Amino acid sequence: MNYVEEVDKAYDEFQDVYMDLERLVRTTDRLREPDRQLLLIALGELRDLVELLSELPTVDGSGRYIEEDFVVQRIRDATELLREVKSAILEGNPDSLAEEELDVDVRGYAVAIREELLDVLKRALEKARQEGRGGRDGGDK
Amino acid sequence: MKDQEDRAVVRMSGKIVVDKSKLRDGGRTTKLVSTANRSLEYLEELFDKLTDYLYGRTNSSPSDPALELALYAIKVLGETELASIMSFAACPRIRENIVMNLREFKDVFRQILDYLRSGKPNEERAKELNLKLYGHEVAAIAIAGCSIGLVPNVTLEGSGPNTTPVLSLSSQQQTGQALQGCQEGGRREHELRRGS
Repeated sequence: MNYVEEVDKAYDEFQDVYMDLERLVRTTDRLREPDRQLLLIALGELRDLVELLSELPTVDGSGRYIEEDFVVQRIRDATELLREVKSAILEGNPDSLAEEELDVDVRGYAVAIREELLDVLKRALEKARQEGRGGRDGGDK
Repeated sequence: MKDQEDRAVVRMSGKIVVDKSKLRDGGRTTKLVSTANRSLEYLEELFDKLTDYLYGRTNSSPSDPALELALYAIKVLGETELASIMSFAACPRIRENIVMNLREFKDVFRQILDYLRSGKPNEERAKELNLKLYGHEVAAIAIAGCSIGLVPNVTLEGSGPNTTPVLSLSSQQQTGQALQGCQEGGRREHELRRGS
């Protein structure tokens, strides 16, 4: 399986789990209304970030500047987090769910991945620029 | 004047400044601005690099990997920045409105990036970007736009953060100015680097 196919597969799995969880969050009576809304927003942020991650192979073909594992693993980790959130909702005590602040966990995870992605991009961009500069300088000679 | 009570000024430097004494929103705008400012170092650095490619390299092509990576990075920054900034809206009605419209904002943002990427900015295309926004949404767009250099100078004014629409952007004028500012800024920077 090549890079793009692996990312597609991880993303499809994430989407399936996400849709399932979103349906649960919208319909369950285990969540209080304010917590439900906050969780939906946080989940939306995570989904958008994963969608952006899934686009990375288009920008960085064959993992030239960013390791292939980085994208695939982060999407899988996000999927795992969704499963944990689902378990917390299904198995948790409704009265304590608000205190657990699931939305904070989800948003915190999204923020951490975002920062990591930006760091990786900064390094990749520098590398690409140096290569481009080297190639151009060489071409001018 | 009432519309002077809720004011934030986005300076050309990309630093967002708020006159706290005039705010009546329980610190929400201050928190929003603080979050936005934390990202500015990232954004400014990346935008500088993108500017290098858009204006400084005469032989850059759409397939240039550095250009692709820079555009992608700005997309990540812009979209996630919008999402995190908008999540600060405390009023449920505003939050609901923001969530409902998030996709629309992202479409606008994407259009702006595509527009930049095309390398063929023109006034007619700018007029197609039709923005109808509410106060906090305006703030989010303006901050994100300023952060990546699309909006060089914006003043946000409003009649109250939790109530009716705070500011109606004149899309043609505002977007046109933003894009014109971006082009001029890039040209100036390019000229400075060339020593002209």
